[in-house]
Amino acid sequence: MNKKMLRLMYKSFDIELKQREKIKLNEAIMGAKKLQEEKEQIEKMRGLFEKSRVYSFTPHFAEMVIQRIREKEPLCHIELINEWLRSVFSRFAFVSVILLIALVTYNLILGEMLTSDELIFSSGVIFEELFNLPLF
Amino acid sequence: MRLLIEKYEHRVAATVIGMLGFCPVAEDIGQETFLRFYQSLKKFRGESNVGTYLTRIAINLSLNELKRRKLSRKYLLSYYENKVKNLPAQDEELEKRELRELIHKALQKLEPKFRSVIVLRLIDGYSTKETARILKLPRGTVLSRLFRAQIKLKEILKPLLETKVKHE
Repeated sequence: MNKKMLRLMYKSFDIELKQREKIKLNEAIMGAKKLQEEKEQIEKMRGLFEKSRVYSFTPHFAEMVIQRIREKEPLCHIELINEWLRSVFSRFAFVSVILLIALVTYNLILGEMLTSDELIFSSGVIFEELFNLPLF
Repeated sequence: MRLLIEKYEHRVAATVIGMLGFCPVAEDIGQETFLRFYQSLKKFRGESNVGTYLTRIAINLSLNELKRRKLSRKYLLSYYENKVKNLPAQDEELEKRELRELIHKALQKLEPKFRSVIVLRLIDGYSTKETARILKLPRGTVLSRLFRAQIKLKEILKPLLETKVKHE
């Protein structure tokens, strides 16, 4: 059997062949009984596959899927709450740090431990000394 | 969601059972397919239709399952064979069911990469272009795998095909 024609015949079941290929294939099929038989067998086999299609799972498939979705959902809610809390606290933490710095600076100025010159580093106080100052 | 499951259950069942055969895992993979779809609803941009999207999930999960269960394949086949033995006898429906089981048994003898193209093209009825898109393969590869898979299937199903020819 011509292998090239056999391949072309299989191809013809899946895609539209070019006109030239169609003519070639038809001529080959007409001239070879084996190729004709092969074609019949492929048609039958493909028909069997179409018929063998399984259409459904067990009767309560949809309910079982819905049940599994429901089981997963509480986890999703917890994850959402966690995410929300994290975002709120990260903003809160940032504002708190700013407030803390402002409060410390205010206290130091109020307690005359830090002058306005020292605050903008224009006096002789070096940066490390700032950490040695009592805060309250 | 229920409506969607009912609408696409057949398609997912055809793909998953075609890939894995009749086994308890197939139903589980079917459920997982819808679960994954539900979880990825936000990401779904509607580029492909829902059916194709679900088929893609189903085929990927089935291929993963086949990889994972390569070693316990014997168990699945023996489960399947028991099911065939336990079928009630002499019934037109039975003949259909037996035929279906024989076809699925033949499918299980193919390598997963060949099985997937057969399931999508011959059972699910996707075009070669759609099959290529679902499997993320060039169309030429799909055609070549289809050819090789059909040659092998024809050999496996030879007795059945010859009987059918005689009947008709």
